[in-house]
Amino acid sequence: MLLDVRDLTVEVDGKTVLKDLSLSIGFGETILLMGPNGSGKSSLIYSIIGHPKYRIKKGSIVLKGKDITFAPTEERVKLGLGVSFQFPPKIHGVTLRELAKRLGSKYGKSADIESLAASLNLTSFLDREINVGFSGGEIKRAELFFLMLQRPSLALLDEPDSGVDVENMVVVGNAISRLLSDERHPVTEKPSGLIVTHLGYVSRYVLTHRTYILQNGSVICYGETESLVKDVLRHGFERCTQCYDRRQPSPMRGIGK
Amino acid sequence: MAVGLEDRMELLNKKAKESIQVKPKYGADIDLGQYLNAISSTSAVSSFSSMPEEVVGRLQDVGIDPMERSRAGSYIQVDHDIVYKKKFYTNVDLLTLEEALEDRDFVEDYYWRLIDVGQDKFTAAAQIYGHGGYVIMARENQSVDVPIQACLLIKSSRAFQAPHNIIVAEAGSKLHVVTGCAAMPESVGLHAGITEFYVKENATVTFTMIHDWSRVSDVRPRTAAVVEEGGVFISNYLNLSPSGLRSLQSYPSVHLKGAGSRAFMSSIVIGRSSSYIDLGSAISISGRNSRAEVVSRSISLDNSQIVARARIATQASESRGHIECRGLMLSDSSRIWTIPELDSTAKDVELTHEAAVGRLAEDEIFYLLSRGMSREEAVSTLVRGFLEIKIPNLPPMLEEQIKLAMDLSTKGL
Repeated sequence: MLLDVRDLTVEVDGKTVLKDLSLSIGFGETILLMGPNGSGKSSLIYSIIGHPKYRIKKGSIVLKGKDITFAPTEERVKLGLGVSFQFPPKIHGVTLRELAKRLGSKYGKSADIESLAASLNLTSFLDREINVGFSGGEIKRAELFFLMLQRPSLALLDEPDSGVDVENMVVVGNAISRLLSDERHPVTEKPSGLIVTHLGYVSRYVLTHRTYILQNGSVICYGETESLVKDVLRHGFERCTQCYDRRQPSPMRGIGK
Repeated sequence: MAVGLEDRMELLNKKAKESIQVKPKYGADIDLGQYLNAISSTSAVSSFSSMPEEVVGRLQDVGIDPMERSRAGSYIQVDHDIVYKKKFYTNVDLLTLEEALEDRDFVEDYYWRLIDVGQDKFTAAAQIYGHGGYVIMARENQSVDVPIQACLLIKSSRAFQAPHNIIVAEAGSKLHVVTGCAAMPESVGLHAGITEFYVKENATVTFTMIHDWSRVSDVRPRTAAVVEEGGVFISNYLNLSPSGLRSLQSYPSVHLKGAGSRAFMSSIVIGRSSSYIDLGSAISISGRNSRAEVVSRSISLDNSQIVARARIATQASESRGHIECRGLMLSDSSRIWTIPELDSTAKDVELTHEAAVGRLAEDEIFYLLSRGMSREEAVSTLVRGFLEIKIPNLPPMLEEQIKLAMDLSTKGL
């Protein structure tokens, strides 16, 4: 198992944001994470990468067999975690090119900066300060740009498809697909992905192994992506609650089955 | 000297003597007595290679190139003494102040015309006890593409160094001046240089200063500029003093007198140990359709205190001004106080300012950690980014030099 999250309970400023959450991702697997606003999707990503504000009260996070529940972010990144944030901060005085060069030399893709930027329509942004004056979609593309240079073994993508216009949805979708199909040796290092998505657009571009639905900080349901996304888009997350409340016996309950 | 000129000199000396006790408006007062008795002398040399190695090393620290590659000329003053002066271009004049004062018109037009000799004890002392100073004059419509370099070094202990520098850019000329000011380590000294700039119609002057004082230096420069119609004045001040300095107070002022004139003043200062720094930039506008911009970055470490002043005042229509004042605190026992001021007596103007003081944002550090940096790398990347200023019209060579100086002095912050 690449990532194993067990019974995770997390607080931010004394407020519980995740409650007894369990989820696991195998090598080379990509899973989708859906749920209404405030259900804990971003909190899970921040907890996995180790943001200091997210206090772990209970449970564990194990990555590649190592317990990283209380490990500093630096160590988690060294083990192969990488994030595309939904709302990354502006980094004044540091250009995309400068950070890209560092990532390139660290992770061995220095020659590809120009062509990678071009593939994400970011060529004209290379000498701009990171996220300063960027639109929502531009931020998402810049985040993917860095992540592709970082080459994580587990990519945590927080709403990579929100705020992206129609033209750039193809660009973003293809980039994620490339990020996750990055061919490496040995095969056990094929990248995995955890993708938070609100509307599930990204599932049209990426082959996913399953989808988890979050509600009030817990996983309430998981199953095969296509039917789950379809049901959520048709009925909303409200139906998930009903399904959960009926306490169906199977752990693989899909809505509408 | 011609008659009349002597009268003016006499008047200046008289006013200076009357003002020798006048306390400065800003910054700590200093007892001049401890500095005025030390007399030392360094003899003039014909080349950099005849200077002591440790002196050349200090000159290089502040951007002076002893090989004089891509330089239009050099002026080196140590304490009181003019040690070296040479120029390679014919379209620019480089004189010592004493040489320039031989010319009556020069005194009439440019000597103490922008700064009041009676302003405070430092201007007064500069007139009475000061020696040397460079005079640079770019001829009409001549473009001096490479900079003239000047260095003022304090070497002896208890030295009072007060050169009077005058820079004149005739109409349509273009001039770059790079000055490096430094003190030898542990040289107790007071620097109170006077600098006057005259930027004539459609002329451009770029003035770049790199300062590196010693832990026991007191620094009180007095600087003013006037810019005529269509003229441009760009001043960049970089004070990195890696070993700190005792105190610095300076408030250079620029008068945008002519229509369509422009001024850009940037300053970067890092306070260390128990330095007391009071640094400002003031621009007053009376020429219509003129533009003024003041940008400052302060970083406080240890027990340092920094007051960052900025002032733009206008009485001219269609003028615009912007102040950007940022302070970064890297220690709990330091202080940064920014005082941006805007003052208008004309209605169709646009004056704006933004000021911010704080520490490094944790979410930015966290972001860089998540991109694989160590905490140390993340902090130094953000500090370096904080100091990044886009300076207009800076030749790439100078840009490189400034970057290098900043890299060196932010190492290990």
